[in-house]
Amino acid sequence: MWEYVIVGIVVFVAVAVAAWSLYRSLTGKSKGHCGQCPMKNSCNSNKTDVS
Amino acid sequence: MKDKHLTIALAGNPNSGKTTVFNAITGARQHVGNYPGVTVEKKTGSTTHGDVRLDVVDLPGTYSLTAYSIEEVVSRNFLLDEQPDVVIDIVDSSNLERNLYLATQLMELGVPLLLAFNMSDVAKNRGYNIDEKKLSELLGVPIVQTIGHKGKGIAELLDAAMAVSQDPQATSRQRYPNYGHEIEPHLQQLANLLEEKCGIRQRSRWFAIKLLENDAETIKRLGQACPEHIEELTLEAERIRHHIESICGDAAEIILADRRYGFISGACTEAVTQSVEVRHERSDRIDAVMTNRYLGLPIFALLMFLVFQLTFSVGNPVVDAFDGWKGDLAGAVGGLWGESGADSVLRSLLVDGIIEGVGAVLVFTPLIMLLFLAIAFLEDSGYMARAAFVIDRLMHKIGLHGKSFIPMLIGFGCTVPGIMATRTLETRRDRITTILVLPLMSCGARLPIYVLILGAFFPERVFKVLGIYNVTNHALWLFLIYMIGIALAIICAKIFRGTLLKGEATPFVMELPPYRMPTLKGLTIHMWERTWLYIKKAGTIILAIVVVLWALAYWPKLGDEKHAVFEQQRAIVQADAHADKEQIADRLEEIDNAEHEAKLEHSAIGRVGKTIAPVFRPCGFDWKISTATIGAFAAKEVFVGQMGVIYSVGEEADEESEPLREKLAAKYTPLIGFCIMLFSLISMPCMVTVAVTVREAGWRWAMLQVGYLTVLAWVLTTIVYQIGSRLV
Repeated sequence: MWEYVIVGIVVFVAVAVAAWSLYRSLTGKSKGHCGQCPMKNSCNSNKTDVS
Repeated sequence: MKDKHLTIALAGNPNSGKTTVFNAITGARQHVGNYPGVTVEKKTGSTTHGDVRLDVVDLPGTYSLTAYSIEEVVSRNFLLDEQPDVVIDIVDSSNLERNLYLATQLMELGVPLLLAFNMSDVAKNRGYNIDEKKLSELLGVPIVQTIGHKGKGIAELLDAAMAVSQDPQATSRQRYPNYGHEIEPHLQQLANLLEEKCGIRQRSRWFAIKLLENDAETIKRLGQACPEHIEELTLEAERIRHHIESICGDAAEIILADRRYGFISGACTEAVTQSVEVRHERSDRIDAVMTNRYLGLPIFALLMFLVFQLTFSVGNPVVDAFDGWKGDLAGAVGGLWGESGADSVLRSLLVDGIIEGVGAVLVFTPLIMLLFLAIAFLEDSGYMARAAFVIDRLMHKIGLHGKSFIPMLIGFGCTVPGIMATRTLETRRDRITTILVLPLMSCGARLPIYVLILGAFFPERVFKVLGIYNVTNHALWLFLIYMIGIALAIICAKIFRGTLLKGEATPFVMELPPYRMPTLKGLTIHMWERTWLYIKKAGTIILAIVVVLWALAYWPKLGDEKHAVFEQQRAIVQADAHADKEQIADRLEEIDNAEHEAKLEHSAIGRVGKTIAPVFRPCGFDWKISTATIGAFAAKEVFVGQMGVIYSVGEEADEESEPLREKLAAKYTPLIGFCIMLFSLISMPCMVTVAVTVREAGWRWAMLQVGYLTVLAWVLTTIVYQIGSRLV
């Protein structure tokens, strides 16, 4: 039984983390993979309108 | 007492070593790429010098303070709105006249200025003797020599910055270019008008110059400051422009730029001498080959191939070792439960979910490290700028220029920063086109998929080229995949430029920075930064997704009745008196596999997979591959993790467990393997890329990007599979 409790908590946390990450990505708040790049600071900078 | 505080802005031309100086001052580790346009947005850092706290702002690299590009607007707005205490203009001493153009504009802007003559060692090697004292007097601005990457002159630079900040005469000593008797009286007239009508006392001359240059941003700013007089001011400026044009025979802004260059040229003639005649510098000699019309592209292709060759030949044995350790770990952890623990849910989570899922991603870390090391070497040495130059000719034919290729090169690491780097492109058409095709540049996150597939379906073969050099077929396959991506990007860009995004290519002069030997420290930092993020991603978001996928693959469990059917079959096999031990073992294995398959199909992930599988059937994918390709939308590496989970849930993990590669090889054909690589290369980008595309280009373009890439991936994969399966 205790195994199910541990697994339940882990899965719950994983769902929360995955959902939070998805939310942040789709709302543009995530830095994403920016660290793999020369311009990681630019990723969370304010949008500059170039239209 | 550390209550004194100073804001320093670092301005300078692209590739003048600004970010290196920023890093040297603040101790930060911002990436320095040896090609223009690395700093698109301003970056901040802080340090202390003596008892003063310094906030240092690294502005985007710009050639001038006009408003032609987004970097110029960002820099200029910062200087105007934030009014830093000191502006340090980082000047590439080896390219003085070009770099001092920005300095003249900063002087006109009336900011407290200090010039850092960076890369003074390169200038000396090129035979330039710069009389800083004289030049400083001529310009009315203090000058300090620095060598950013060695940290030389940084302390003196900060001392000088403090002195400038405390000097009330710092700006009034600066000398401006004189625009001659045709222009100066009109400039004065406009400046007076600005003071009179709008109450602009500070920088009235600079605003007058900008009005004469018909600078849209300045007109907008003035329109907000004094809306009732803006029309009068612009009409007056237009009248003066026409007057200048009729007298000088050229547009006002060209005449103004001409006079500035004249001012610089004059100052340099006074203060700079060339001790040796350097006709054929080292960089020029190398470029004669590297950017040669006929050799340039083959050399680029060869270097890309060598990158993959290095990645595979050095990295693969390490990956194999990692894979072995992963199996040992799974066996050891699984063994903690003993014989009776086969049905333990916690054991399955740890072994089948976390170790097999996250482990499948982590074992490729050595390859990622090597790939990023090689890319960092090409960037830091200055070759990537040449690659953009070489591709420029090709890009012109599709209506883009080489500058678009720089974001694409960055996209080899990760698409997200590549999209951010498109901000350096002047026109929206160029930006959108580049953003749309950028995901076709295969990012680092897709590398584990390729390596998994190559290892599973294409046995490694080493053969000699020219009888001396060992080449692995894996490197050739990877090279082929990357080249398919580049070719598709070029074709798609051509189609977009001919249809949705019609227009002429903007003219642009590609700057070629001199070659530099990358430092070991720089390479290590760049490689580690990127690798660490890969590891961090595997330990956070990928771990979370893998646990969720495991849960979806574990539940709902196969009912007792169905389990009893398999148990019954096992009992019948074991009771067969005519079969020998080997036959019994084989038949039992078949039953195990059938039960494993039934468990997966019964699970939530199996049901979802079965629903979407018909869509992917023409591509040769079964439901397992189909769900993994959908899961890869979260992050591309998830494909590998998900396959690891799917092929482990319900299996008994022990030291004898087959590696994922062998399980895949037993289940699918090399043709399907190639189709997986092709689909992963082309299909919709990960969700972070989509989000950034929405932010940078809007929903409409983001949806088009997702849509066209997915359709293209499906169509091409289907064609390859259908033709391939008939031929093979």
